[in-house]
Amino acid sequence: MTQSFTPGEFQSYWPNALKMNRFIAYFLPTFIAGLLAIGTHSYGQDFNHFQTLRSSGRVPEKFRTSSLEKYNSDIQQISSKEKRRLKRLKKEFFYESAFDLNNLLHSGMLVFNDPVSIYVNKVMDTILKDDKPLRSKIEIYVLKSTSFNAFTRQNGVIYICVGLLARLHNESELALILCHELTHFTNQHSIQKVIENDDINAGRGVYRKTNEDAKLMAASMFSKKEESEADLVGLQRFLKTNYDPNKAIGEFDIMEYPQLTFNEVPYKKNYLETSNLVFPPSYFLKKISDVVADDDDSLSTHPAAKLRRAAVISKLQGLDVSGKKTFLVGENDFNSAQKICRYEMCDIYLHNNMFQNAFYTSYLLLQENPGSIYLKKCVAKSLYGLSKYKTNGKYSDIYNGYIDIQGYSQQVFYFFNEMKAPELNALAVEYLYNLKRQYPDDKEIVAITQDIMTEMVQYHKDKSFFSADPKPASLDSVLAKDSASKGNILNKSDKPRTLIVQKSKYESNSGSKKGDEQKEKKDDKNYFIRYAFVDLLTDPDFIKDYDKAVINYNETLSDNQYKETREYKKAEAKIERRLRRNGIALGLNKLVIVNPFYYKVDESKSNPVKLAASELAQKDLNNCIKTNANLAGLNYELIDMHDLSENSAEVFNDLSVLNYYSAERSELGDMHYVNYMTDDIQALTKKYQTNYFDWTGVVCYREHSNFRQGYLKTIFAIFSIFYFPLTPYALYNAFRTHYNTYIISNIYDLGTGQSEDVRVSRVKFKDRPDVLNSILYDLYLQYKKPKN
Amino acid sequence: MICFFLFPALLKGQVPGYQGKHFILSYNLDVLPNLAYIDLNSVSTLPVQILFSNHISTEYVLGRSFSLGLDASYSQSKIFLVDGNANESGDSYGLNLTFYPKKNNTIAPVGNYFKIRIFTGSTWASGNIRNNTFDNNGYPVTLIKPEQTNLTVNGFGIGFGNNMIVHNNIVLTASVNLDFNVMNFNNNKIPTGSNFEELTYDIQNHLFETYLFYFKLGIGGLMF
Repeated sequence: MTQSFTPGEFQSYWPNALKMNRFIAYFLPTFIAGLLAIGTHSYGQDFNHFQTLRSSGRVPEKFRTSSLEKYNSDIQQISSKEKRRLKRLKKEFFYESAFDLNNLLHSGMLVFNDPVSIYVNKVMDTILKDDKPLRSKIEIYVLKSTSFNAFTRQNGVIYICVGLLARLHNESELALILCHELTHFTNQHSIQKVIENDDINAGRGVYRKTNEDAKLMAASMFSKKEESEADLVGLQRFLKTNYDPNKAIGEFDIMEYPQLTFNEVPYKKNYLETSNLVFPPSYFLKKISDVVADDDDSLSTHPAAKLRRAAVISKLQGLDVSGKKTFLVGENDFNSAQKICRYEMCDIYLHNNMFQNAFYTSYLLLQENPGSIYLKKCVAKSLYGLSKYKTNGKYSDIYNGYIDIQGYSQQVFYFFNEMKAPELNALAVEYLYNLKRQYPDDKEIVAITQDIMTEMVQYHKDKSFFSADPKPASLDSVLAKDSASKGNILNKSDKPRTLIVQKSKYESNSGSKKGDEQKEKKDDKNYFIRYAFVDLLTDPDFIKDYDKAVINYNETLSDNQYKETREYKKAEAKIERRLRRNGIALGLNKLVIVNPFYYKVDESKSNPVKLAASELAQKDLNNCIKTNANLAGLNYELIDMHDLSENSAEVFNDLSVLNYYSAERSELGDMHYVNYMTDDIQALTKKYQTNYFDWTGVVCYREHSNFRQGYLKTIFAIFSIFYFPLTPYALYNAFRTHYNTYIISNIYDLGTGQSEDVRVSRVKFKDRPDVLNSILYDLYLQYKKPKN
Repeated sequence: MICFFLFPALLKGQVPGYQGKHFILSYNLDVLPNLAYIDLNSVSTLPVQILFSNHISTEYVLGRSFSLGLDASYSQSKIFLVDGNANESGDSYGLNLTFYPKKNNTIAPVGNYFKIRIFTGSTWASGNIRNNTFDNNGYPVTLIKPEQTNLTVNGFGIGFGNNMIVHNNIVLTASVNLDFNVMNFNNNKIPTGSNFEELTYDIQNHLFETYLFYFKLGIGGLMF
């Protein structure tokens, strides 16, 4: 495994390297050259086959230490001379912050030692080249988020969002932002904010007679004061560097319009059109709404960007900036890192079901790189996602408006909003099938195309609906006429259209209004979507795939109809009873247990989740899983973010992929959906030599006493007065607390994307080790038992 | 018989036991609050007494939610009477079927259980019974008579309890039990109506009556 270091880390290794023996010293230059070569290669991304950001090298200590260790380290900062209230506040803050940080570090959204992090760390090295002690306290990671933001924690961890770097103009802007974040750290703004907010909420000192509205205002003012301080102190630090301040202030322009993406290019109406598939002009806005800067900062945590810009510019008056440079680390490095971030944004949008944004971002990048298969796949996945959500009546689960959108992407939002489910489906099939013809060996494209075609059959079971003849010349004029009658110019008074919730795909064939509409459209020779497959219908493979999709659909339909029968339900109940009695038999050759979780919840507390106890219990759970899986003879592998070693960056990447996967699956519910990360997932199944991955965990829940419990306590107390032997039980019942423990196991077959087995065992005890052992052992025995 | 009928089901079912262990050998201390009052010619037990009995039991987990067990108990207690005392001894042998309800989602032998038990046993009683009565002139007469007899009892019982396993091998049990005598046979004497005989019979029977309601505290080991 190759190792790469951030520059700061490498410097700390240097003195040790000098002490090495001659043999190693001889090879040292070669080793360094190798490292540099690795670094150069990292920037040399193949953007046609873009690989999303992945961590590499040594896993930083922050990722490996537990929340409690972080907390214990943080509280060393608290002076014994401080007032009791401050001590309490700081302890609470450090406590929550430590757990919050670990949650984020283990979410898979942060990456380390990737090309972008390495670049940003280099910029920080440049800023702090004369302040090594401060540099050693700072760690920078890239956060997979599309927002224009950066965060600093009190312990020196800075996250830079992918969306921030993607939008910047140059390195000086990045340097100014980093200086701003450094001030947040050096001045411990996050702790100061907590203390001040406590004063505000408690009405202490100057806030004694403050009402609720004024308290909100005061909290906002304090936050803005800190931001302004960070701007100005950060600027002082920035001015000590050789970066050009005049080039840096462009960041405030971006801040003023954070709603816009990194580039504004009009969306071409004919982008998805072919010579035969033409969309009605009414599906496009004649004019998009004006872009408006967000200048109202009355309740915001940050001052308005224009005020911040003015404050910074006023400090730059009369400064000599000769010799200052826009790029110090390098323009190429900046451009490479930024390009990676822009490509990464498409993937992040897709993961967050922001399909319209993913589509428009891919569209922008395709203008520069039209041959990129990665970007084409992003377009295809966006169309697939939009079509699936619309067909399954879940379009309202994703962003379904367009009024609030600003910039040219509004056209995209409007277009997809106007498209009916069958139209969007046909469009997706058309795009995907053509992509499949270009890349027939791409398993991801093949799987998505197959799925979307099966869904198409519910709308058009008979392929004769689609015309094999070119569109008539009259169609354009008909569409234009139709459009003219609509007048689709966006007004401020426009409201998002109410969505017609689609029926499920198996209901849609029943006689309904929608069916009637379908019939009406079917007869309409001017229905534009009829000409979607003019080219494809000449392809025998497409005809074959269409017929196959019809067969698949019919099979699914008859399966679902059978499932509605009494006979099936009776048989199902019988199987259920037998499984309950005898257990199941999955016959798994190997199981990968992913990130076991543990939550101890006490309903009676203001903070119900007992974080420290949960973390300790989680470690015990890992041991419990290992013991029982071994005893059951199950071939397993446990991978856990809480159990990372210095060399387990690959495991970290695997877990990041799996985290995204499980989040996506849980969001989809019962909707059949081909996973976006098919390639990554297939790589994982190959690596771990199994398709079966288990998300498992325990939740122990302590209940509030309810009426029934109180009633029973009273009954037993009364009886014990008259009948003394009941006294011990009455006492026990009076003081006992009621617990529920849930042991959850959810096995996914990553090959099919289906859940293989979901178990939620609820026991009315505290999380006793014997109960956990007993249930887990039984589960693993069932997972191992060969199928009959 | 029970095993015979259950066997086909057992062959099909997966029996995890506790981490693959199915057999428990345990010692139980039965704590018997003295509920059976003897009241004959002013002779009665003191109102608050607790008797103890030693119990050895075995349990074999046969299914995901039930187990079969055998138990043997021996008790020796001294009953304090207002006017005298008696030594009671007894033994019993039982066959248990324990159910761990499926709705609780626990797997035998862990968690709450419901037990049914059939048993057979015998009891011996011996002691000096001092009986204060009055003669025809109204003077008190103290009669002391040693008695010894035994009694055979058959019955069934039910119990509700909880098994907890600590350190993966030690089984701790706590339960509440009710035993019902259905057939009693006095082997030596059949009460004839005399005070002494009736009293002796009552004392013998007392132990089993005491067993009507008792607590069981057990400790045992998961053997294999």
